[in-house]
Amino acid sequence: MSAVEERVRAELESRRERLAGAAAERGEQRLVELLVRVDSALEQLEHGSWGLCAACAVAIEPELLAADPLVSVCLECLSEEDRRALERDLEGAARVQQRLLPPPTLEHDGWELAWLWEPRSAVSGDHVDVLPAGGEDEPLHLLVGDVAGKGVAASLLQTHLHALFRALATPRVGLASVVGQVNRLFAQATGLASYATLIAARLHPDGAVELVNAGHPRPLVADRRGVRPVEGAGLPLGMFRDSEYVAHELRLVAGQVLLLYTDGLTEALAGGEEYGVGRAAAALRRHAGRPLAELLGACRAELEDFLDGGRRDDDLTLVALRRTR
Amino acid sequence: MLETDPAAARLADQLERSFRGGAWHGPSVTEALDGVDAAAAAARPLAGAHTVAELAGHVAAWMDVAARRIGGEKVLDLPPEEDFPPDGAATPETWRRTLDRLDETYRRLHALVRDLTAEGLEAPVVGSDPTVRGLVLGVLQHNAYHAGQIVILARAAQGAG
Repeated sequence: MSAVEERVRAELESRRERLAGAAAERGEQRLVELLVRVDSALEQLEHGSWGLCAACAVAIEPELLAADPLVSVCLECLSEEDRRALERDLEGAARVQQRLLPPPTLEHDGWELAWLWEPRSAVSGDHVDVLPAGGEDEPLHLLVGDVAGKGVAASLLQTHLHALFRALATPRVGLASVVGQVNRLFAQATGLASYATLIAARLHPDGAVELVNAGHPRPLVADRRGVRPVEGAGLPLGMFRDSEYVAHELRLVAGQVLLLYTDGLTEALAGGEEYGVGRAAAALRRHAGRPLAELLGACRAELEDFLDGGRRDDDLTLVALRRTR
Repeated sequence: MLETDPAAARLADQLERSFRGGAWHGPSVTEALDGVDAAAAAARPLAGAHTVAELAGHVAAWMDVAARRIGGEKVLDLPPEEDFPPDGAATPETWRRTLDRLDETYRRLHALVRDLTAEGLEAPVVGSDPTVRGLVLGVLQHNAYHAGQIVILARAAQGAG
């Protein structure tokens, strides 16, 4: 079994376990049907036929499989009409997702922020959002997340997360409680069949940053002393209905930079080796003094150097935040 | 099935940060060596002190010893020519090979540490630290100590050049 197949098998086995629990608990037909499809894919993996088109027996496009490991027909076997409809749908979905993104840069109350969001295909499971302050002396909310999987299914859940936070994030409720509430609603919506990692940050005008980490890669703080990760993480959203979260507080001073990212950065692979948090930290250290948009471009360029012409196989999001006073 | 230990994952994370970047104390080994060319690596700006190339070879040699000890070999010490390998930057090609060996040794050790089980962490090894856990903690301190020396020597060599 190849490394990709091993990874898909692990992902499907984990999905199967959660689905089996949800199907037994709720008995919904759609969950049972999904469980049958997962079992079928696992059986194909066992027999070496996973990834082959059920119609023509040719290998299905890797991008299609990466987006949905349960897919059973290749693009060639779709009719021309089906293909065009699929492309139109994807383009439409991509436009919707892009319209939901925040302004590319922002300066507010001593905070400066920029982001880079690059889907692996037309749409992304990565989530980035900035919720403006409701009034004077009120904090901004910054969200960076990653729904498990890629492609359309992940992007649908990403837009759901977007809506949940937009509806629930208010400074009058503690940030950990907001994340807990989002978790319950997200778990309810997905039936525990998927999950998302996420960092929610509340940026106060005095430089304080409240952070809640739901299973997401650790952010990196850069200053003149160097770069170090911010520890402290809870469970991903959607994994358990009753997960509880803890808010940690950082206080950034003028010049300090916080880099948030999705695992498309640190888990990018070249020659079987991960890019890793060490290379990400070293890149941030080299470029931390530059304007934020340049900093993000330079970090991405270092990742591309590491990949040496190879293609990323995940969505990528980088967000840089700097305290300016 | 034996599962890897969360403490091993933390040690592997610390090892990565001491070698690649994100170390609390400042530049990692790789960051300290970034931009050091063969001439600077071979220079001896402080009489009686090691060169950057000797230190890079030394860090690689002891990460290799740690990997071999984790693998069960009873490596007690190294002869001087392996402890601080001379001529590691005699030419740009030999300096490249020294850096490649350093990187390869790190990746081998990191993979071993990351995959350790709880029992593996407490397994006995030869040397001044009696367990694998102690051995890896020693490597972390060793990397931090020599990364600092490399920074100073590289600055001195480039200032003198």
